Amino acid sequence: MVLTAVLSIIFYAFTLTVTFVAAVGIITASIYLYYR
Amino acid sequence: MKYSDTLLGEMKDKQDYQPVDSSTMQTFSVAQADTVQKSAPAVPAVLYFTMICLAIGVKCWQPLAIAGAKNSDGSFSFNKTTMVLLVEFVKLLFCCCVFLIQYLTSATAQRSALTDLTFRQSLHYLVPAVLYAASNTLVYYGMSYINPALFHVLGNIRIITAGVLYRLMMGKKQTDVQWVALLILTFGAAIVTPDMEEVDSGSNANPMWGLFFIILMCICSTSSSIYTEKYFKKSQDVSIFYQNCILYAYGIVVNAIYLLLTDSKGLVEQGFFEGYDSRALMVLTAQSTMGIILSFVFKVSDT
Repeated sequence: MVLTAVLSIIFYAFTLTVTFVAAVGIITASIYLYYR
Repeated sequence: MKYSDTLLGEMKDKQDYQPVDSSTMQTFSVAQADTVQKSAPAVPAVLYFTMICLAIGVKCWQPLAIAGAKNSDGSFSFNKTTMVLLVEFVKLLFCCCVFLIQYLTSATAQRSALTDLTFRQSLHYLVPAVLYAASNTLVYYGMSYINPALFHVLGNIRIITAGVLYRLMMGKKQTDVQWVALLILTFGAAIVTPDMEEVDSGSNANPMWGLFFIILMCICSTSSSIYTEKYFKKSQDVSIFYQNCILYAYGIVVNAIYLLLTDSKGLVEQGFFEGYDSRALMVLTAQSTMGIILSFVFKVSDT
């Protein structure tokens, strides 16, 4: 997710928003919680 | 009871057992299902690390390549079904080569077991082939509306669909913590959806269609994984590459039928490779490489 977001910023002028960063954080945490 | 059954039973007892495809893309294959049943072979750490890095790289590249092939109105210059068909064909070719090597290097007595599958049994592969065909096509529909970064974030919805479908269809119990995790994940996916409107406001259609197609894609790929897991345990002595060959062959048949039903006129008038340029070639390479690398990663890793 992070790598794709970074490359999207570089190649496709993707605008990083606060909600996007929050969503990535929340989803990463939930995946950790699910599989731990 | 075979060793693999015992192992599976033990994993279930310990509640360590998770749906294999939960954090992956749409290319879950029989090879991946196989890892659920058998212990992972020993692989040098460096090789394993390299494969994981390659898998991450290719998984990251896939939506970027598709986005690169997108026109400004969200359409593609190539036919989506012919692309899915070609990807299946490349994967079939690769699997045939690997299976041939496996077959030739096996002891003569073991060779018959590698292909011990009747035509009737092989028909079971039609179900995942249809579901994978749908899932692989839906990737393009989803990507028509949203950008690669959101595609990856929303792709995690498959963990939710996997959790729910495994509970409903396989009776697998999730712990309370896991249900909470799924709720948090749903919340995470929900808060990012308003971004779709802002980012893709230039698109003619409603970007929420992107979310709809991604959810549909997740359901198709998860259902396919469950079917694979439920029914292919029976043929666990058969070579995994042979099973993949059958799956891909059925995938080609399914996509070919779909192509003939939906766009036979365009196919005759414009030809199969209409609209294929360097960007389409990039998509083909990314999609095929991802399928191949992921199947190897799952082959050598455990859940």
